[in-house]
Amino acid sequence: MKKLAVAIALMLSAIVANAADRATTPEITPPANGEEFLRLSSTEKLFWSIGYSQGYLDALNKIDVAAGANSACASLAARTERQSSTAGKMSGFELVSGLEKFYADPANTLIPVGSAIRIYMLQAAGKDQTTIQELIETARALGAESSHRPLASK
Amino acid sequence: MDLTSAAFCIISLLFAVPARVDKPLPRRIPAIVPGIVLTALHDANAASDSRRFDGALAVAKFVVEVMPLGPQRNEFRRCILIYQDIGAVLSYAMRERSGAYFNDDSLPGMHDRLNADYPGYDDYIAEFRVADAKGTVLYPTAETRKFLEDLIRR
Repeated sequence: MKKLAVAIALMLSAIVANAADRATTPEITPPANGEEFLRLSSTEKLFWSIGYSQGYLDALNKIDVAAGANSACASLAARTERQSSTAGKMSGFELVSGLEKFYADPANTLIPVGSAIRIYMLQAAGKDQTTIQELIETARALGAESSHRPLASK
Repeated sequence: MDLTSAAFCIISLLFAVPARVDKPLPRRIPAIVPGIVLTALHDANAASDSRRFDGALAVAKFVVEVMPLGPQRNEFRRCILIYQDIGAVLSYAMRERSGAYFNDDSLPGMHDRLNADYPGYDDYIAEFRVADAKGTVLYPTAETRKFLEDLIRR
């Protein structure tokens, strides 16, 4: 009987500890698209933007380790990806401002944050408008597909 | 027909008076007009559409001039004054590269003026202010606009 009581007490304390642990652990859910991004506070937007840029830069710097120093993947990263990354070209404040402007167009709200950042970067770098518009249209279609919603007509 | 278009239709009707009348403006405007104009301002601010916002603000300033003296006009004028500040912040946010945040260098005197004119602004914005790498304090434009918009609804 004593053993059973101890077992029950242990089980209850484990459940309570688990619940307390869950309550103190913050939920970290990255914004998937503009709809979710615009719901964040400015501070959260700033943290996510800096985090995204930093993570992307880290991944680019480690691409030779992951894919091999002279691999096609590494040369693609050096040639193309670095151009459309925010690394060293834009502060977090500028990135948040750019995304806010980009998502101010209601037709862009379903575009994933990653695509929006790259499109905004290319736009800021002076890429031609036809290419930018094609990228935006593609990103809109992909965003609508991923959220299972019909494409919003502008 | 959206509310902005409706507001512009009503404004054009105000001018549709016989040419022989000495005073071209009617003494009274329909009671619904200020409401329509305020909704247009609210919607343009929510959509971060500074061009539509500026148009609606110009209409609002015109409407308040033809409103009869009284509490309704005073209240409408108070809203316009707040919307003028929202307009200044919105226009900066959409125009500048780092428009998501402002300080005394980027929007001279704005923070101090908002502090002086709107009790509670300083406490509210303190939660959202950030400092850059040089220690310069920056205030978010999105939360500033939200604070001012909330003042109008009170």
